[in-house]
Amino acid sequence: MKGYLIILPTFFVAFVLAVFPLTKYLDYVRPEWVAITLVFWVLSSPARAGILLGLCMGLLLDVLHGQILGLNALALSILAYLCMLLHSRMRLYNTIQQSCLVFVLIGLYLLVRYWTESIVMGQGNIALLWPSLGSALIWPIWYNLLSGLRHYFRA
Amino acid sequence: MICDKYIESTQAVRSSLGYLVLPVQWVSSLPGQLGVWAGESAQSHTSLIEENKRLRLESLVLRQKIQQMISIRAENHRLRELLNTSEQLDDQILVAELIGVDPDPYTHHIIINKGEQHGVFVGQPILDAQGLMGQVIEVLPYTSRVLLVADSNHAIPVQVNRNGVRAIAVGSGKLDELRLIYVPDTSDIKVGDQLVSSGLGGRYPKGYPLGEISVVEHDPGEPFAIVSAKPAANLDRSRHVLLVFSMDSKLPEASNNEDVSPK
Repeated sequence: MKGYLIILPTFFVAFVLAVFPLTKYLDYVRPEWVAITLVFWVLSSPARAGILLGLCMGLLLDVLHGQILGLNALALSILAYLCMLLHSRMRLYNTIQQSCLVFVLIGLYLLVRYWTESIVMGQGNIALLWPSLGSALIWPIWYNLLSGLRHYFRA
Repeated sequence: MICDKYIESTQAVRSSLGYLVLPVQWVSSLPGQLGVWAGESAQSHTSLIEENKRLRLESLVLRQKIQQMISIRAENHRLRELLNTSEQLDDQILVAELIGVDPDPYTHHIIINKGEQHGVFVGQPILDAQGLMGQVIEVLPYTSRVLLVADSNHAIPVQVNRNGVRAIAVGSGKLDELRLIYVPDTSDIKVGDQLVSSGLGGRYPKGYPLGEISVVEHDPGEPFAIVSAKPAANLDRSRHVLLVFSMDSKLPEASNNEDVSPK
């Protein structure tokens, strides 16, 4: 239970960063903050964070972005599942290898989102490359920050 | 899960999740509000006096215009009675503040700080001091999401103020451009013409300014003329917006008396 007291505030920060106003050009490479936070927590404590957490956070993200309900929930659940498959391998990687893997994972997450959106709505947001690149670039900093927090609170 | 979208009852889920999302929106709008506050409190005494003087003059001019308007409105009313047409009613408005802009760079949505609790409803038109801005597309308990007229998914029926030519203005995806589609090459539209909403779609009230024609091109290879307009509203700058409660559309049950004032 104590773990969620750390996990939920980090998601709150991720949500704020996800809607924080940025300049026009930075907007295109805005990292998928919620997705990389989910990846971090699934990697570091797969017992607590999993598909259900991805589902809940996805629903909140849908409401926040005004998208159809369930879109991000589905995509984040799939992302959480992929991370659970990969987590034991991914822990052994160094930072640069992890960043590359995050690039692929976020790309897959955006692809799933784009597919579902275009099936249900008939049109979708096909910006896959730049947000994944932004997420991969921010990953080392975000990873170190969150793991520092995690060790500090011993969660 | 996704198919839920086609069922209306998800609105309840959405609005209850909206309570959880509210603090996120509030925190993300905090730095902007802090900036405005700092700018206001750091202004010099002389500039405040100057601004005060300017506003006083402006108010004087506006009051003089209102005096004219009262008599013109009475005359209009009498003429309408003579013609046996229905009486035009004033629209009620509610002032809202912009608290967020959608982070997606491919859409033009804004978030305002009035929601279900203030009587906002989906489809409600939004204005700023200069003209039409857009319409509400999603209502949460204390906030709502507005689709701007410049979004490429938005279209509005308009009329040229000079001669009443009707057209449809579609957003171009750029904040300073609207496109008029299906305009015949022979129609009488010139650069500089004012566009007003025609009220034909039944969503926007009639007669609010939308923009000014900026480009008219006749390309022999195209079936229709290429017409662009510049929106009158400051789509990227307005901080305060007006929500319009048209008399023929749904009236709010829970509107505060001090907020709603006849225009």
